[in-house]
Amino acid sequence: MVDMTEIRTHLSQFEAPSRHLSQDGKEAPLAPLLPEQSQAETRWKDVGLPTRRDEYWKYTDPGVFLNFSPQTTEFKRENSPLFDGDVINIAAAAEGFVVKDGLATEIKIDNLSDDKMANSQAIRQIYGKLESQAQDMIPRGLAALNTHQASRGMVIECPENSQATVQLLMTDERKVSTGSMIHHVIDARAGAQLTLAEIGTQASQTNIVYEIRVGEGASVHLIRAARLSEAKSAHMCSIFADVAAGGAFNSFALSAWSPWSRQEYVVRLKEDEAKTSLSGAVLGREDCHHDDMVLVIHEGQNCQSRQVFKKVLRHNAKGIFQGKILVRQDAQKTDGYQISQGLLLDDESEFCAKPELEIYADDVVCSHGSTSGGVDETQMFYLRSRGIAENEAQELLSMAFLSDAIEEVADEQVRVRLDEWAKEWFVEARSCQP
Amino acid sequence: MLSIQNLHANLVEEDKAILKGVNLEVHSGEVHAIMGPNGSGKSTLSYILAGRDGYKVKAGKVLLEGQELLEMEPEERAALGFFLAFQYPVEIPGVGNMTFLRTALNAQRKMRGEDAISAADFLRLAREKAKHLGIGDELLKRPVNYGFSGGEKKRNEILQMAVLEPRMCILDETDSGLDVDAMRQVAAGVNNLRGKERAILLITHYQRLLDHIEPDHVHIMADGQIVESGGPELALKIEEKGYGFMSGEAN
Repeated sequence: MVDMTEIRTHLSQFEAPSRHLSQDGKEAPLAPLLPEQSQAETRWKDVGLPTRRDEYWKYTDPGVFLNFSPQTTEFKRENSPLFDGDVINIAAAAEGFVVKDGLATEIKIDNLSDDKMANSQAIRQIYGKLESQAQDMIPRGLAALNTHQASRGMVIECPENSQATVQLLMTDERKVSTGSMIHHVIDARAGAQLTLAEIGTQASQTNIVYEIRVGEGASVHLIRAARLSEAKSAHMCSIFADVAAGGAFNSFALSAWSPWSRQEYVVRLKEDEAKTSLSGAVLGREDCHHDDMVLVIHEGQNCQSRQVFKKVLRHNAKGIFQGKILVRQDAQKTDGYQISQGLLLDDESEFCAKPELEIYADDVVCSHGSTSGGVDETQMFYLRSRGIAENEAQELLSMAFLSDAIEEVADEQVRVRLDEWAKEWFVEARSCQP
Repeated sequence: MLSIQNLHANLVEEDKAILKGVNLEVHSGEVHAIMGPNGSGKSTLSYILAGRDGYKVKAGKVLLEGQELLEMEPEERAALGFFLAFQYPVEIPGVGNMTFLRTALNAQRKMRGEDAISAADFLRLAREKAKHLGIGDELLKRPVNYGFSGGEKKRNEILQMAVLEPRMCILDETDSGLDVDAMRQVAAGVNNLRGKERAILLITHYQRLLDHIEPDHVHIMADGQIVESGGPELALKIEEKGYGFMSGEAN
């Protein structure tokens, strides 16, 4: 049973909290924006909000997110782009997402809050559907709450064989003093190729959901590298993707500057020859808490999945990885790979990993590995013996450690920039040693 | 250049003396060779001079250009001109060979108060030095020593030496694991670096490296001490008679 007082308190942290819930404590009579949103209300009421007792929240206290006090965030540095050239740049504003430059000729980008979205095919077929089907295995109350409550989001429709690169700048988010509840829907039809990068600076509290349908032979690359506020912040992101035959869904996240964050992935390789690569490079310091929870479900045959998560942790930071490869009985010839590693730069930091394989097919190759440890002393000595100071040697080795995750990004120019951004973290970390 | 005075050292983990009073004077322009059986303390000596953890100096001191070497961090020793070519060069996957070398060179220059070298100038310098050692662009681009053959690793050590231009070079069994051709290449690289301003100390088991790099002085190390010093003829004597003739404790 859901504690409505707790829910109301939690929702009051977000923008437009009163749209669906009345102030007097009774059930809200207000009509939701979309029918799919109203259906989600039953879901979060059924599954409830996460607690420490939930199996997949045992390393992360959901109370930090649920009882967070959002604040106006300040970020000193200008945001640099990740992609140049033929890119559709979109800016996040309080009222919605605005195309700043670049022409969306091949694809269609709408705002979730547009009235016409009620009749959108993408909304009807995807919104809440991917999130809902993921609830049967592990309860995801915060994602259901987002489906119900989200007031903003992009609806991106990519027609067959279209190609586009979209860069989402969260520039205006820094002025937001409430949390952001954002729900994006992506429909990449057969043969479409979409790259979506999320950059900029996020609000101090976000609950973001992506629902992504990857059609036959289509590919969607999601790169999340938004700088998170330096102040107190809490970020929750749930990514749901369904991949059809021969399609590919790749996701990379650079998570630095983030005091508290959790990313949940549910990727379903529904048909034959579908692929996914999920990777993350995490840089955590000063009590930062970073949790990645991955579920890859193999349903089709000859599908491939990769999970590569690397976390560099120092100054009492905590990194968590919970990842599962689930291979259904019919998913023969599955090739599944998972690696999660923590690099602890001091004795106070911590890395917790829970790698899981659940395999019902008999002709599969699946491997998983997890390690946790400090920098290699022999390598450190070798670098120092050549004149490289201890902190610089540590940075070189940390960047080398992260490189496996960054290598998962296909575009070389983007890899170079992500590398530079990660290096900036070290420069900042050096200037604020506790 | 290098003055080792009555150096005594233990492993930190066990209270067993490894160096038992090493004395050695190396001057600018000289090439010295230390020979000795396994376990005589040769590699330990080189590690202690380079500043590796795990050893405890019990007594004695080491001066490099008149400065107390043992008081310095490994990177400070490097900036002062000390270089150790490792017996087992360390593989560092994920760090490009060129990035590593340029970072090292600029770190040393910075510590010495010199300006950083630009990427373009560095590329030119590294390519030129690499060419002399038969190291192609492909090897320069790969991660440090990662997936290198034994010979490539040793040549990469000499390349670092050529780029960093240290004044005191110690080569710890640089000949081990090399075939005849690789040995010639490495030896030619080392001979190229011989000069009035530089001293070289070779640590080796065998005479064969000394056929290619002729030392001015040869020392025999046994049981943590230098037990005999002489000219190149001493190495030939070892080759002929083995270490057994030295002292009862050796071998």
